[in-house]
Amino acid sequence: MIVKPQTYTFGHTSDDALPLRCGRKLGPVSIAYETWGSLNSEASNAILVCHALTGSAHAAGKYHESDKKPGWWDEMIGPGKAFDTDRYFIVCSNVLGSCYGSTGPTSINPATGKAYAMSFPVITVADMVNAQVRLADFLGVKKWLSVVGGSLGGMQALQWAVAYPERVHSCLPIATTARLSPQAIGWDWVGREAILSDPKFLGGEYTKEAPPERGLAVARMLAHITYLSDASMNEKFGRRLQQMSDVNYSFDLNYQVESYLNHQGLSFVGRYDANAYLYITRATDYFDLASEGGGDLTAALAKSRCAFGIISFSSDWLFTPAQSEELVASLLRLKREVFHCDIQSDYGHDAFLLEVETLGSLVRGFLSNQQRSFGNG
Amino acid sequence: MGDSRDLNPDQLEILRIIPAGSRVLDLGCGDGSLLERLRDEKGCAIQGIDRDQKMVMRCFQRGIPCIMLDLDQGLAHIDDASFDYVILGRTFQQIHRPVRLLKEMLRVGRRALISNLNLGHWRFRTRLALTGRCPESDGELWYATANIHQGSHRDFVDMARREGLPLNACHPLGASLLARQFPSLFAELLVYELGQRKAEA
Repeated sequence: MIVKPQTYTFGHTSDDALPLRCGRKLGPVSIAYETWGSLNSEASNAILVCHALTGSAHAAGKYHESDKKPGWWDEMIGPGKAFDTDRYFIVCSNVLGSCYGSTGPTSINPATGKAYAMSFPVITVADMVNAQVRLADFLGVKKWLSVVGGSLGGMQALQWAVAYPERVHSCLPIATTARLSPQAIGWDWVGREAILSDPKFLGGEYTKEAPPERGLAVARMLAHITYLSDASMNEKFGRRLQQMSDVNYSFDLNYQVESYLNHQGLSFVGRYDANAYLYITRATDYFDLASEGGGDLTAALAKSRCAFGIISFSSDWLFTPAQSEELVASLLRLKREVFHCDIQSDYGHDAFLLEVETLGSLVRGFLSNQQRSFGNG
Repeated sequence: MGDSRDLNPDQLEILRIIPAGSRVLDLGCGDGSLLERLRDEKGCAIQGIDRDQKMVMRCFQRGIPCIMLDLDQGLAHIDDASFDYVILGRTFQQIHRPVRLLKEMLRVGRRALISNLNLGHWRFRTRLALTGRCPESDGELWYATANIHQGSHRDFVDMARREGLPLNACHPLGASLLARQFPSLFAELLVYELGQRKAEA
């Protein structure tokens, strides 16, 4: 499946600019996106896939046959797959603040002619969704058959359901939460501290050639541990040593797990921008769905009108099953029909990218039922 | 909707008892067949709970709202009086603290319907008398079965009285006059209705 990266830009005038939660206005705003399948004549088969923290709009397919890897959810999206591109029109857009094509700290500030860097406004999940709304308008999608996403993607899906109830027929929040726990905020803080204290950070004014790679790599390694589980790390690495028969009484990497994390950190530095990482993690910290209901989660969810299919993973200790159950409890309180499956998995938070078979089967059934009720709802 | 199976006799009885338009919660709802019929035939608002991932997945696929929960953890997620009817179909015997669950059912719903096997049925009595052996349950040996709280009709009625659970009605299954007249001996399966007598709205 060959896919073409596209960009939609709006907000060239002050009237058209995107108002942000922080009070500032942003414009022009570019949103990078990709689509698969085609929108039917009633525009009733559109699904928005929202990506996670450091993801991109490239959810499926390849740009060229020779690409080594397809998009990040390629096992889920395509002809005959759970997100069946023969039936549905799938859209994935890169979040505001990212470094993968949408406007973010690496973009040029038209007022200065230089990259925004740390002068980029602090953005929120609500801002990300408001930008996606503009894209939906442009694409001619009045109402999504479903808005779906894992992790930060799930937060966007929840935000859509509550902030734009008339535009969401169903919502599939996966491995996500209505608000970050203090523990998760803590991890984000430590990760950002690693970046901010890297001498090469230079207040965010580093060059492309000399990024704060140490800080960014440490942030990624730390975060990566929170995406795994104790069980999966045991299974994957145990206490096995990396190409040595005994420990070497030094602080070099000895264990396989160290080598793995090192690799994760280094490869991340090659593909992600430190400033974007600061902004996007901050957006997740700030996310609290309850704020849409005056501090009350149930009041916030009362604004929604869609069906919810909530999926969590038993070993996810970043966004725990208990956090999904909070959503469930609020929806039951509202006398809504609720779907919640806690998939038994050892893969931790990353399970939403790995348990494709189970997840695919849940998604496939949920979507086809939702498609049947679209229009009645 | 595809793979809907026939209901068990006790499920058919529950389908008959529940008035149209009720809000119904089915605990241990399995693949959601009963809920599906309640929704389609009686216009009920439905919600299922099951602890088995396979069953929850079936419900997802069939569009039956279901959440994944182990009933031994109680129903803390659910507010008081959220439902008109709460169903516990052939699951009572697997619950570690069944009385606590029955009280929870009456907290979250106005009425509870429980279907349960009667170990006092004459066939079980005869088997015990003649062979000296307990009945097999679900094809499992007595020490391997998940059925840990099995009793007779009389035991159930007795429990309701001791624990102060308002037993409103018993519905013995089977068309025979004997089953209705002498359920303790002749009804293999019963549906018990807990809740206040004048609860109908």
